[in-house]
Amino acid sequence: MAKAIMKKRNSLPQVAWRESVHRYLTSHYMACKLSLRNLSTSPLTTFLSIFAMGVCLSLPMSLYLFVKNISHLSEGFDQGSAITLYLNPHASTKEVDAILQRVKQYPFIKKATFLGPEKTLQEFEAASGLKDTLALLGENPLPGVITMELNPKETTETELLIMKEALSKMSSVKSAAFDYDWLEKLAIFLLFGKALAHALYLLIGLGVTLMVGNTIRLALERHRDEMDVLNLVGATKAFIRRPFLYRGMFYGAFGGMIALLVTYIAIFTLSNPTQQLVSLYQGIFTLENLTFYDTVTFLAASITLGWLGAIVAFVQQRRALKEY
Amino acid sequence: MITFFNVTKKYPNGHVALSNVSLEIASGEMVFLQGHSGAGKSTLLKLIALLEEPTRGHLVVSGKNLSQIKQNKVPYYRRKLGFISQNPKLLNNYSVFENVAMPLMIAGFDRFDTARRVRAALERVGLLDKEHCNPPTLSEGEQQRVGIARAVVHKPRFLLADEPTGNLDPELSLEIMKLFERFHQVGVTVLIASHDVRLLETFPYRKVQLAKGQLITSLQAEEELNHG
Repeated sequence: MAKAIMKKRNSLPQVAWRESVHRYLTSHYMACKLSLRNLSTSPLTTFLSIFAMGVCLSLPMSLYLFVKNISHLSEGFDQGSAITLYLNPHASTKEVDAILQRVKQYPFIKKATFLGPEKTLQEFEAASGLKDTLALLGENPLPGVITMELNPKETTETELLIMKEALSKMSSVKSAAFDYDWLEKLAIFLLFGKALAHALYLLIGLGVTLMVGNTIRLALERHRDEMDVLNLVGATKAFIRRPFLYRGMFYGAFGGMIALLVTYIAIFTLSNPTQQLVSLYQGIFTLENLTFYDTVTFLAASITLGWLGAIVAFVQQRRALKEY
Repeated sequence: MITFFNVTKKYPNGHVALSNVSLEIASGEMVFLQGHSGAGKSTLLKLIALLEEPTRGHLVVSGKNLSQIKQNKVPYYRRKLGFISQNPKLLNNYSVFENVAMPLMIAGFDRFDTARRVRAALERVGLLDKEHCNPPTLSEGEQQRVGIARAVVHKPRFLLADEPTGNLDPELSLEIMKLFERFHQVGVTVLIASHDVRLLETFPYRKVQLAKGQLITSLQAEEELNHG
């Protein structure tokens, strides 16, 4: 008997805990249902708001994909991914060793080779066929060089530019250059593109938040009666606010889906012309699409923006809705 | 029990809705609040529902001083009340069933219990056959009855009605008042604010007379008969 009572007593908190979880989930389910129902009462307005949001969100998404594809394109030039350091003519063996040691510290350097002035001259004579002309010069005009092969998959454009800058500043290095100059320009362009994309993410994010905020603000005004009724029959502030927060999240989620759809359509449309263009230059390149991670991150971000927008609406209306 | 201790309510625009009102309403009692428009009847009910706060004095309901109830506990206090106004404020996008079920859904009742209670409340107000209708398709009297069903569905201890028959014809008004009387008979404390003196005279319950925010008389039915 005592055991049974003890067992019953122990199970009571568990029941209460289960019940409160059930109530919490039920109230979220209700809020979700309420907000979906309210969205469906004015389908055209809802669709237009979501569509506008989707188009806005597709801009940073497209820019992200553009930058990603250009980065991918530059990765294809493995053989061009090399940097040459031109040394001062009087660089000592000790200084050359110091540079080589320094260069090997970079994890993305696959191989670093030193060519002395004589060897450089020999290679130049062989490649140019100007042996006799060069013999007329009193001394070897060519400096020693260190050529570095990179592993482009293990580095970024930024890291390469930083490394190039650092090595150029060494006293025995006269200059440093990418073997393909345009690759350096592309790297700078990509850096600019990424910075632009980040600025655009912020701006569009702010725009979408304000857009959702304004839509929710109007909804708050329209549903004032509903809020009063809920308040009167004992709904908590959280309960009253929740359908509007869900509404913001739905705007974000559906807007995000439209943006993804627009982006997928753009990729699909551009895929064939890009293939044809690349094949003209005997290249193999396929447009990179959004990964699963990209898609999930993007949707989560747009849902968060919608939620933030709803919060903004409540902050804007805090005087009128002081009891909520 | 509901007790007003020297309660004054002054609105921000300077209007004094209630002035130094002291009043006691016993548990399970049915009381009519009489007075012209602007007498302070609605404010008195709003103070009980914590929709307004007194400027001076205090109000005790079931032994609890309302001014000491924390803001986050107010919704739980309101769940003990049923509030009916002249405009029942029904949600037009929701069916009659959903409107009535609202307090139960908020309180976290399960679906089965909610359906059972809602149907019982609708049956009591004679609208069981209208559960799937939306409020705009109902007459004013029916809408008011839906409002009453919503106010009583969670079996409140106090029923506050602010001009519940304001828009209704005499016959329907009488019917609604009889409905309130039935709730009073099962032990609910009922407070009805109305300016319809003739209607209230047909019921033998205490009448509290208010004028310009002041308590004029508070007569029991018997006293009233003697005075008459």
